[in-house]
Amino acid sequence: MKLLLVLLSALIASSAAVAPVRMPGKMLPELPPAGALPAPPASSVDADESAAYGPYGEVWHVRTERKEIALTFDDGPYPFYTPVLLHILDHSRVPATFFIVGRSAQAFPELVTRIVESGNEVGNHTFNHFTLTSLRDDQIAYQIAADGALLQQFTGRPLSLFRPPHGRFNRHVVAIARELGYHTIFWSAAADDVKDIPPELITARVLSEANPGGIILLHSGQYRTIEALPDIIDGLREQGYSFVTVSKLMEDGEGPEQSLGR
Amino acid sequence: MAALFLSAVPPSQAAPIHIAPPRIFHRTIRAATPQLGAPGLLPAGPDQPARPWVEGVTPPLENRLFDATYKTLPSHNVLKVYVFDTKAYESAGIRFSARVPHEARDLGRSEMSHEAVSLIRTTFDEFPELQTLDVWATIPVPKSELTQVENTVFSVSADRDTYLSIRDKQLSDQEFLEAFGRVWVAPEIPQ
Repeated sequence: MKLLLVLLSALIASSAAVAPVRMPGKMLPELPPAGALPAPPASSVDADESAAYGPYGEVWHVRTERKEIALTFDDGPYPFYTPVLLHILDHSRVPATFFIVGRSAQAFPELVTRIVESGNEVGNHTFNHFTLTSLRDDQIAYQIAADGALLQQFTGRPLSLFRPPHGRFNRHVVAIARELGYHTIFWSAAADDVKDIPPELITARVLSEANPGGIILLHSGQYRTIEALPDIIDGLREQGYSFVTVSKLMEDGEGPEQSLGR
Repeated sequence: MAALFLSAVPPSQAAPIHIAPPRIFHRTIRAATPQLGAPGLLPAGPDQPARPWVEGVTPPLENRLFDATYKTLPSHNVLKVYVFDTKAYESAGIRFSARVPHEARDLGRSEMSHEAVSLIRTTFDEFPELQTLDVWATIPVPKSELTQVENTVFSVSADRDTYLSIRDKQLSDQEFLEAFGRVWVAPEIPQ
């Protein structure tokens, strides 16, 4: 029995193991010790009250009568890909929201600078892009806080948007993000562009799923996405949409603060 | 026993896990063109030799860039080149190895800087259509840290306008690179 317990403990410990984060010490925020975080609060959002917010208060879509839409790009920044992406957005005068991974931002700081200086919004996509639902609460908090501390050095102010890697979440992830000051942002439309699909299909999927207050999920490191982007922008403009960042979309929407129970 | 197991699972793992759906599966959208694999991932054949040194975005240009740049480095340590040809804005990337082939050492900061300068000069001088160039160096990640395949230890993002403004100036490698903005060098890299 004792042996079984030891093996079980080892199995659990190994499943939660995380590779060390390589960051200069001065960049790391002070985090509470494991278990010190408050218990996730019960959601104050009624799931039936609004189609825009999920049961834990996460944001999928913003209710608005304005024909505004937000393009979001996950991951990166990526060398080679990000400059082209930024060129297209700048040339088209389209602001976007980039959910940035800390270890990539650390390795390619100039690209983060360019993202910020081009008027785009930056969101938190964790430091290592681990699947958060496999981590302990303190590890989840570390991943979010470390990325936020790093990216704040570029934005000059605390970030307010967070998106969990791989779209995997539970009430702990959303609650911990909220405790750290973040809205958890998902999407109302996605092109599934991480799979190797033609740019025409990416465009068609985005255009067919667009709606006012919509949040579009795309990925930074996919060249077919970049190829599709000019047609996506043109197509959405033809449908009458204007482009805003996620924060602006929420600002123009119907009371996200109240809906998030803050 | 089951109760013991459940109590040992971290709360975040015991909670129901949700996977955000792509939200596009309820309708079928036909692509205007057949679905193809990424050019760089196509299986090698008589007319399509394996070319691991190109990303496969624009293979002809990438091949030319590789030919032009790999021989400029003393140990020929260019790993992969990337070129995006949009007909209006061309961007490139070059990833090189900070681990010296056949030697048990990694390049130091000054060596990597020198190699990056060589790559930037060669690229912008020989490829007038290219507007931006990202150069970065990687080392393999130990198998105990299987979070990524390569670990970036150096990077610089260069653009043609800045390059033309400093091309003929007598600058050290460090000064040359700093002119482009932030240069990343991992803390563990020796000077």
